Amino acid sequence: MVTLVKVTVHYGHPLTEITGKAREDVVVNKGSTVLFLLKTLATKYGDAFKDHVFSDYAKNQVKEGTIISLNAKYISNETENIKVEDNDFIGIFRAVGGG
Amino acid sequence: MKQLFGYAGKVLRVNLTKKKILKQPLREDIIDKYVGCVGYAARVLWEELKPGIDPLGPGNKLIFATGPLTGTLCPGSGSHEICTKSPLTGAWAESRSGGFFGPKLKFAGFDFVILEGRAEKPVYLWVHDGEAEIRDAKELWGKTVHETTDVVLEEIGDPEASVACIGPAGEKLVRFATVMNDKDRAAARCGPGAVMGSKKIKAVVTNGIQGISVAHPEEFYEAVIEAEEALKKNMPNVHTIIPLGTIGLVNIYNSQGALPTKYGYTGYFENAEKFSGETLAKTFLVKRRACFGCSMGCGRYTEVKSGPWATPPHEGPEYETVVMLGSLCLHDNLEAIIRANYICNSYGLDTISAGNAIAFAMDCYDKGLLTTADTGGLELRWGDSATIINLVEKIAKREGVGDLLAEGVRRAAAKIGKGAEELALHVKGLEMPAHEPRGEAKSTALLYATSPRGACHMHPYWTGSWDFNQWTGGLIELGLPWPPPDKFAEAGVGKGLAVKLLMFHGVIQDITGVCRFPALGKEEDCITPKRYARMLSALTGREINQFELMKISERVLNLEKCFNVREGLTRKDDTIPKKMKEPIATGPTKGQAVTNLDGMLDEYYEACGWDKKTSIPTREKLEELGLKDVADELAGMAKTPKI
Repeated sequence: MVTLVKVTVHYGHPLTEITGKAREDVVVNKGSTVLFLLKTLATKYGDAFKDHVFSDYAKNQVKEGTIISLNAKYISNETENIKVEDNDFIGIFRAVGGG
Repeated sequence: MKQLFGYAGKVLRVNLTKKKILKQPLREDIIDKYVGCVGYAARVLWEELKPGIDPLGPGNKLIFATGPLTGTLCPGSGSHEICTKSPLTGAWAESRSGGFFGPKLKFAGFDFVILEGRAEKPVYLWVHDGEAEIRDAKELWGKTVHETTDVVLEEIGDPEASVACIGPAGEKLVRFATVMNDKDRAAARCGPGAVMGSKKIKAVVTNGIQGISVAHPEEFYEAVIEAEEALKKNMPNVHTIIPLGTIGLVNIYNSQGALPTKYGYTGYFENAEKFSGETLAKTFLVKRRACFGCSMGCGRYTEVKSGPWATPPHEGPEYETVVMLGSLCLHDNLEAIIRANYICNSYGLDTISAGNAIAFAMDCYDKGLLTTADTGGLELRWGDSATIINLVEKIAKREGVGDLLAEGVRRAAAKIGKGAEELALHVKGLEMPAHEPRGEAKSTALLYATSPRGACHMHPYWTGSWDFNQWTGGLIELGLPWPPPDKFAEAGVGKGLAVKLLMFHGVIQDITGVCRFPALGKEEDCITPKRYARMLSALTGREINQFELMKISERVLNLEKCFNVREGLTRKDDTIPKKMKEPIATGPTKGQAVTNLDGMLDEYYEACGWDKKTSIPTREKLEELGLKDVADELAGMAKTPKI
């Protein structure tokens, strides 16, 4: 039997424009990696998403300057190895500061 | 006196008690050691203010300050600072604003305006073309910022002049009243508006056509181009700040569990999208706005055309404002936030402190520390738009419970008692802003604890740029630990040293008179100390490198610290609110807390050359910085026997 987990994905600008939302809940198989989740989203949202997140999609390389976080911990270079758990929070954004 | 390139060359000193105006030459001894703007003002206030004076008494002084880069082609040069002793904290106060006032003050022929004493009746100051006059402001007293600006510009007959004025909140001595300029730009933090109000000066108005002399124009132009080219590469600005403004941070901060929500209970708000930059851009945004000399243009201009929160066109709201009047109060109505921002601007209130005070009151009400008997029947329910708008007005007018909150949360909590002190989010009396240190980065906690003006994310510098954003600021060759450690790590990973160096970088903007934003970024895409040194050298003709500039920054930061020491502040004042030591309740950062502030403080003091036990700069450090007279004065004070 396949067990599913729910992950809440948050986007920063301009991914909010590309996806049309700031946040969404995504359901994936338990044991899925963060990379799998990112590629699932890339398939869903197309080239604009892919180009913003990956420098080399085939080689699974996240673009420099794009931050991937899991429960607020930065994991941009570890997405292949880290599996998501139920109720995790994923963030995809570019660093920005001030306020 | 020889020509001082980059400076107007004069100080305008106005004694409001005696109605006397003096035009004085800039002191070269101060320029040499402190450059200008905040540095110059810090030295003047150190020399001229007696310790222990009432910030709202005639003995306090208030300085409008510009720097050599203000009003030049340097990016972000539309800046000025207001320096004084804060009526909110009783400590060092510097409050920056953008817009056009700073450049126009220099074009009028003055680098600084020093206000002293107290006018017998309301007045305003008109500074233009090398001259200044004190004018009657009887008819202006009681008017809002927007009304005052319109009336004054009409009266002086110069629609291009820049008006820096207070609103009714400043007149009523609300301790976090602002000095607004160009209608909606604010020198907001630490209560400079209350100091203006106590002196019965409603406005300082300025304009002129004097240029700024450049020592080496071609070199300066090339240095400016290098800086602008770097900023063009700054993708965070291109992707977020330019299209959305600072309010573009809302969704990102929420994604990181770092959005202050429900007054310190969590860093995550499920409704944050409702008041995000993306939502503003699709709804109430009219256009973008930029300050003098800015290629970034982070300002927003908004309007709510109809409905219960209809609001005329004006500037804002910023990220800080929507969080403090939004999620901090568990409030998500963007129209009401825009309305509240407009009222704050009109009455001259700091939106950060106002939002913090309102959320504090809601927290107290929630816990039964305030009841309807205290509030005049007003129920302070979380998230209620009408309550928030009502409280903003009551604070500005010091009506009912607003009179209590107008004192700031530290004093209000002390008056309420019953444990309210443990709820209040402030450091040294300055209300904590919209950067949640448990969620953003633990360096932010250290910054809040040690910033000379209290809980502030931007003065002297936003340290989260390092361990939250992983930006260098061009500081690696100056010793910045790299790569940055985990943002949630505390002691033992170099945060003390990093915060010290980042602060020095920020003081460079403070002493040269420019905006902080262009200094935030990586080596290749921001204005680094090296780039500031290059521009400053070409502008002034005084060759200076980044190391020397950082040394001057260190001197200024030490002097600000000594200002506070002289006022009686010690290590016990370098702290954070109790709630920040408790775990975040929900969201991506659930469970995060600041657990070892003392460890980070020890490392910071050690990096600074300050005594770990007292936090006071050592004599050795002060003498190294050319501050022997400061060390001598502190040594002569009973409060500082350890030096």
